[in-house]
Amino acid sequence: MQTDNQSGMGHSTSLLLSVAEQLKTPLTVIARQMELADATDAQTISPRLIHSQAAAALTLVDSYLMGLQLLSSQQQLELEPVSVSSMLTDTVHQLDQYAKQYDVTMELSIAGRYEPVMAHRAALQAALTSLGYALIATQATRETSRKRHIVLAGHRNAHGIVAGLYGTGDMVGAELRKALQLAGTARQPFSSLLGSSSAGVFVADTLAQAMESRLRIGRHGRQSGLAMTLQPSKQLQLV
Amino acid sequence: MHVLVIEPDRLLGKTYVEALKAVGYSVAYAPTAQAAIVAADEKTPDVVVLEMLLPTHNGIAFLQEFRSYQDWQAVPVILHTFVAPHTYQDIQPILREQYGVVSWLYKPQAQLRHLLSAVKQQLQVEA
Amino acid sequence: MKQLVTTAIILSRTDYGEADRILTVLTPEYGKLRLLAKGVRRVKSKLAGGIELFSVSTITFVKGRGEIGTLVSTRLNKHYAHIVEDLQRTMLGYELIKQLNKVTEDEPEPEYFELLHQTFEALDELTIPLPLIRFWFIAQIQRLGGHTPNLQTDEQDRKLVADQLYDFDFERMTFVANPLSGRFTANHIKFLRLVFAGNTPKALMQVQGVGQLLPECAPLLDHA
Repeated sequence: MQTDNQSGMGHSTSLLLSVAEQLKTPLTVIARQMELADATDAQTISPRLIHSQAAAALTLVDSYLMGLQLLSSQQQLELEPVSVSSMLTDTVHQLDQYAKQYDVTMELSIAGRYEPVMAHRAALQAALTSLGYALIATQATRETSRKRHIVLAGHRNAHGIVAGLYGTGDMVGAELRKALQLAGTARQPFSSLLGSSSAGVFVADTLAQAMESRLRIGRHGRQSGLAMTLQPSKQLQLV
Repeated sequence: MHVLVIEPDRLLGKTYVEALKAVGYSVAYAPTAQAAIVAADEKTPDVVVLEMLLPTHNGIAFLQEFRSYQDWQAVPVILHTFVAPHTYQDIQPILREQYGVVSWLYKPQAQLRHLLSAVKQQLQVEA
Repeated sequence: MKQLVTTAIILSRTDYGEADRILTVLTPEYGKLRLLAKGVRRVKSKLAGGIELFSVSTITFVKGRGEIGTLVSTRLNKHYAHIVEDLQRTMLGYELIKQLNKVTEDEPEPEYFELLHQTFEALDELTIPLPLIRFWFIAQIQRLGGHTPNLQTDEQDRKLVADQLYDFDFERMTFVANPLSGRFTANHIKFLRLVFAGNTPKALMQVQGVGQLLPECAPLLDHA
């Protein structure tokens, strides 16, 4: 429970606390599943479930560390031309098992054709995947399966190429908007703002910052979510 | 004996439900506070297992609503939560006296057998 | 029977019969009302999003012959969702609603509605510390109840001065000069004046040294 002892803590401490809180879930799922298998019938254990929970935890830790390392590095970030649509497709594949286990459907939506963006490949992938885990967790609590749906979308706008993840319901947009607005000023760990899935959002934002971008609330059709705008590469064009 | 498990993570919820069913309890599962009210309305639980960190409405808001219904005022509640116990020590008396919380389990450390034991203890008290 | 419309904040809800609920609400125009919400099944409980705690709503009701009127309809105006994002904030919210419900047994003035409204605003603002909100709330309850401490003159009716130290006489609710070892300074008194003048918790957060002033002033309200 958040207490006034935690008021005034720095951003990095809040982020660390948030990541630590969020790790409790996948690790507890793994521990309890193993216990259940031990106590009942070994066939009840699902290796895929264990694997996807472990992958979620590892992604969170890895992405968190990468974000901190990139932000604190004195060296220029190595950027390269990266295809947003390929990134989003890879993200769908990475999240597929996890989403299925939470009964969340995913959809890829790429509007038009556009050039690659200049990005740090690993950071962009980590950001999209972290965001995906967070949004799946949020959507998983929605009561009807029809509403447990996220869209991974890319499109071009006046400022660049936008890559984002969106979910159903205003709750996603409103909650995330408040959380991002408060990120600079809140005296409480981010987990209090969004429940236990918030760390992935802020890790993704840290990675975006390392690439001189930020996560922003965006809309895709009737869905709201988070997206980052990336600068297209002037050098290459997709054929 | 009927148990209502309120747990936002569906996989964790499924695990707890399976564990409780395996020892013979009838179990209902709800991922949110409102779903829990609906589930309790369908069948009054003999004990509630509650995660405090719920989406939209937290566990306290659930308890406040749950206790406002006369037939549910005496249903014991076991806190089974990711919130570390030392952070809510100061409000434990209020949770006990006002909200009928009878037992406290910290999920990262509480094994399934601890949960089963807490539920069994409560249902034996009632019987 | 004439239908009346007003804004309302729910203070409590209790079961009544098989499917009804009695709501106690606070309104600016009609004070505290007890209204029967008929046929409110649990599936439509407040958590489904109708009239909720920590909300301001517009209600339509009819007055009853006795103490209890009938709720006709509600429309949610604002729900202070941040309050339920933090467990301690939620608990404080319920505690303050309960306190206000207690002190408004008789016909409450509109100011009590405004007090609760401002309390929700403060609780919903996650940067405002809870001890400040609690202190401010108790001070406003005292102010509205006519129990304001004397923040202008000391026990000998002399104007309170900036370079003097004071203690506080709880019986007479007034400051007593104690040049050698008084615990309260001009800063404490200025802070208290701001609090009892009805400044919001958000405004009070700007007071320099509020973090220290608050715990030192808290005993003044504990005894009241």
